[in-house]
Amino acid sequence: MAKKLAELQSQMQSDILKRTDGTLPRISVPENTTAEKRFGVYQFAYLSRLIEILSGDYENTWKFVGDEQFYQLAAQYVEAYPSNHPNVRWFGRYFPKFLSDHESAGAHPVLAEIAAIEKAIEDAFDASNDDVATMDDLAAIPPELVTGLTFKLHSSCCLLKQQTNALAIYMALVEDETPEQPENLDEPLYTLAWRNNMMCQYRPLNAEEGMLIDLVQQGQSFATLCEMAATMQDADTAAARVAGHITGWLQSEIISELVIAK
Amino acid sequence: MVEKPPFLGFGLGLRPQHYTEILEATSELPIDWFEIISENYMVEGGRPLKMLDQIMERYPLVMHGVSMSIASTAPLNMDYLTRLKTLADRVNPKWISDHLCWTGVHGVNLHDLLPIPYTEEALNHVASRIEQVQDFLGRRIAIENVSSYIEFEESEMDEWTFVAEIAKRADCWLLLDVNNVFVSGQNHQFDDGNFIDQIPVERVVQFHLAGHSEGDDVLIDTHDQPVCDEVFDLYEKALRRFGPVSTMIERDDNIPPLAELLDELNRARHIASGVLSHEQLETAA
Repeated sequence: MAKKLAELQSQMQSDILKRTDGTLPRISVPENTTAEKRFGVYQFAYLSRLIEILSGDYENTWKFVGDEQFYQLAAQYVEAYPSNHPNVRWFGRYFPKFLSDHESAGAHPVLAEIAAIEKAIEDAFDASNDDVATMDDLAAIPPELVTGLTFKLHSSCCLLKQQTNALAIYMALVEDETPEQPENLDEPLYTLAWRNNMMCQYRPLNAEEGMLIDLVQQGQSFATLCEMAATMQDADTAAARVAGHITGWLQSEIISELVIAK
Repeated sequence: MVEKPPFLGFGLGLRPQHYTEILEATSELPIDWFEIISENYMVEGGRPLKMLDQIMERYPLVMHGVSMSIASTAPLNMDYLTRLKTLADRVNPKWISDHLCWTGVHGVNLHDLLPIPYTEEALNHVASRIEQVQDFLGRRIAIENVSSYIEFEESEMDEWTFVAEIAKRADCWLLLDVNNVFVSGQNHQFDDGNFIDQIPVERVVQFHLAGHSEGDDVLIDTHDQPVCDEVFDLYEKALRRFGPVSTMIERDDNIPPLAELLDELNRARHIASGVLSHEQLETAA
């Protein structure tokens, strides 16, 4: 073990994270500058680089709150969640949770939900290349086995159940339009983000489709989907409505596998 | 010593902003090869890997990482190395490189290329880790000199002595970043030409050319500017010493249109054509 090197690295890291100066006596610099200034390059770069990463990952959250508040929130996040992953792609993965837990979340719950939309879309971008189930796969299922059929969602799928008008605000921000004022919704809104033909997609779901995707995630069968759909709207057309949703999901590459019950 | 990897000619860092232009070019682009940032493709799937698959059908690739943290005193991150190896199996790169630096300890990643003191202790530590990585990956790796803004009182040797000795002890290749030599030379007031002269010719498999920014009493390795004249001058000196070495422009921020990078790359070609023989340049496959 390189003890002196280990001790130096611990000190230096601590000084970068906490903006302290324990490393300075060990630093050598030319006469035209100072150890404080030169070490400060690393201290400054740490915070600015990670805030830049967050502002890229959460561009519309940043747009919504403005530079000053985003910088403050991002700086707090950097302190609360130091990166522990070698790939900076994952640094911001806790930002929606951080915003949700933040002291201002009670007054501004919409912020965490806008960030959650951005994270869902970002995660869909480089999720696993699962197989995609097709209408032909569905047609090949023997009719007597359809009721027990379950569905595996594509790895890129993320179902959000949100309490605010975050989606409307997000969509306005993407279009560089003035967003509506934040408000709480009377009923939760489901939004699905996923990847279709290598392109990230998202769309709001009505209450029935949102519930059905939620049930699919839980591994519930076609028969259960139909039973639950019957509680939402006209029971006589429930099976047809569920079949319609499944058709849409298959055509949109939302389903990766049709699983026949054994 | 094992024969060096081939001279690939003149390449660019592959950046997502240029995917479409590269893949939809109607005539052959004057790019001999690409360097990818390994971490950008250490993902599960999606467009990054799809683009990579298409580009590797047409161009030789090398892999360049920023998170190996080879000089850290934290244990080697075997999950990272496993993912790196998986990517290498997919890409079949001409070589894999990373930096002579550390990026964090105690489970934290500072996402910076942090310098170390040039001591015998550090030399033994880093050389041993490079050997472990090479054993795991089943191939030699190339180690790159970094830009630095500080030096340490406890250093026992010059950076160039340290770099040369690392290559010898770990039996690895070197990626000589000409801009980093220039930036560190300015920051620490050493002779960048002497640095070049002290690096063993037989170890260098790649040159990086990049731009930097001027801070207050310091040059910062930002990769967001064109390569400056002084770095091209130092590149010419390096070519005279090292002969034909695969050369690339590394741009990571303030990314310009591809044509601007091709102009810079052509300047490197032009300099090389004045230093190297036609036969030497022709060895680029």
